[in-house]
Amino acid sequence: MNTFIYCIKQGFRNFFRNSIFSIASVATVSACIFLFCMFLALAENLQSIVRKAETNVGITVFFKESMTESEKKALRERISEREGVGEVRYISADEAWESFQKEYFGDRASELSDAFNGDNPLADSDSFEIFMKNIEDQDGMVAFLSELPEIRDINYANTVVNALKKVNRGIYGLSAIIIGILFAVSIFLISNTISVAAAMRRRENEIMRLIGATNYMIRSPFVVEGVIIGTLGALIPLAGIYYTYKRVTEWMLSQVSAISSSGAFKEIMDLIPVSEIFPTMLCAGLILGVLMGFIVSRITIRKHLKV
Amino acid sequence: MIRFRNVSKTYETGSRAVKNLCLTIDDGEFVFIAGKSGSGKSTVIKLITGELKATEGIIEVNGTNLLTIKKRDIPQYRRHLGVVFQDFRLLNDRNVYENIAFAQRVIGASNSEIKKNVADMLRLTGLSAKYQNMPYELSGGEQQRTAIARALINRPDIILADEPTGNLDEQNSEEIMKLLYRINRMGTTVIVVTHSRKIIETSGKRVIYMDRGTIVDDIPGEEGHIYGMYDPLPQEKKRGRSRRRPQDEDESGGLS
Repeated sequence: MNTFIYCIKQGFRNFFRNSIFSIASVATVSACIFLFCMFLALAENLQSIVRKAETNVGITVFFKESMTESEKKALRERISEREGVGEVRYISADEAWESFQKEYFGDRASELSDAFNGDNPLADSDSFEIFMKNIEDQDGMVAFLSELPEIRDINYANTVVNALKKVNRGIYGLSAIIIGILFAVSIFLISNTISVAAAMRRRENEIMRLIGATNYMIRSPFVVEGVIIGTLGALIPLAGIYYTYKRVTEWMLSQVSAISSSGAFKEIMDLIPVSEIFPTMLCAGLILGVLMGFIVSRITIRKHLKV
Repeated sequence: MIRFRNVSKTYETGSRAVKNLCLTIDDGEFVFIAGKSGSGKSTVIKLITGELKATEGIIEVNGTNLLTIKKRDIPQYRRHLGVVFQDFRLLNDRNVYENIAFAQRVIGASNSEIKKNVADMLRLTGLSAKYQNMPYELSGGEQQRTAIARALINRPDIILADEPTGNLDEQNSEEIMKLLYRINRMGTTVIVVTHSRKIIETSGKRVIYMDRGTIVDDIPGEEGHIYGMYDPLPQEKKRGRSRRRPQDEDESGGLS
């Protein structure tokens, strides 16, 4: 126990004795973890948007005008039987008109309705909304529907989903490259800090070795120093990210509300709340920082101290 | 007991530091190892501490075979040794107390043990009044006494001193040697590497002379000799000290 406490104390002592290098290392690790968490938040939110879009965006199918109710029913059954279909919802012409008014005119929908004297400009626009279990199957479904003679028109929002997926993949790729570079710089700086500490304490280590200190006793203070760098390098950006993310979500919410009153759009564009995403970022950032400090200092000190 | 049997150490560069060394040092002995620079004196110390590994032969220290000792057992083995250097090797950012306590902290001693043992060592080395001083506030002799206290605090069986008076003036050298004799009288084996003829000649202790990596002379100590460093050794006694050639030991098979 005495040895353990001694090693911890020496680790802190190393950290402060070597302060310029320690601060440089903490700053780099902080930058690395800050960007890592920002990209993590971005990727998580984009994924959430894609997921919401997948569940909200379906294929809208319009029928030929001559179709009877029983034919529509038979068509619905045929579509529902297809593999991968989650739900087939019938939207009547009245429902379509109501939804249109709400989406585009919001509170003034009743005035608009009066202006049309109860006529429905979307008559004969009843449709099926088809939701796939997996968005990847949407294209196959569209191909199938377009061959059906009963169908007049097909609308589907694969462009939005595909674009979101592309952005998501791009962000993953970009973040991997940037984080990779930052990790390399962080590893180099931590390693450098530990090397300098080892050089500064060469005499002390020599004496320790000859007195009969174990490898653990000689190396531990340096590993503790590495872990301190990693922990501080994680905690500082995490505090910043908590504050920044909270502000950004609040701002986004106000912006989205100002742009559109549509419930679906708002739902899709809503960012994951800080209380939901922060525990993941906290765990990931801390584990990353501590592990990076631990592993890099351990490897470096093994190289520098022949015990 | 320290036993070297046909020990050689060749460095990777091909240079041989010691050749076919045969040597026995009994428990409680005081031995000087003398010789010119490059004669292999310090290599002998490093072989005993396990800093260097012999390329040939067998080294046994208090029953531990240093050729077969596992790496992980070396720290435990070293706790039975105390090492003193010419340049003191004190930690300049810690005071006398902390420098001495350092050796105890390294082996995980409790704070109460450290407090008691450091006080004992300060008394033994005459540094009680200086325990708060930093190394740079001490004279060379005081620094070396601090180093000796640090080497001694873990109660080692053997003290290895590599040129302990090399950086000291005459008066301080005498004080240090007196301290080492005193430690030896308490039962600790002391091995001192030196090239000071004055110290050797007045000591009456066993002297091993080395040259180019071999023992060229092994003069036994005088029984009960307690002369001070600069007490003149009577000429008749000096003449009477019979020389023991290293090969005698080898022939007698005394190392087996």
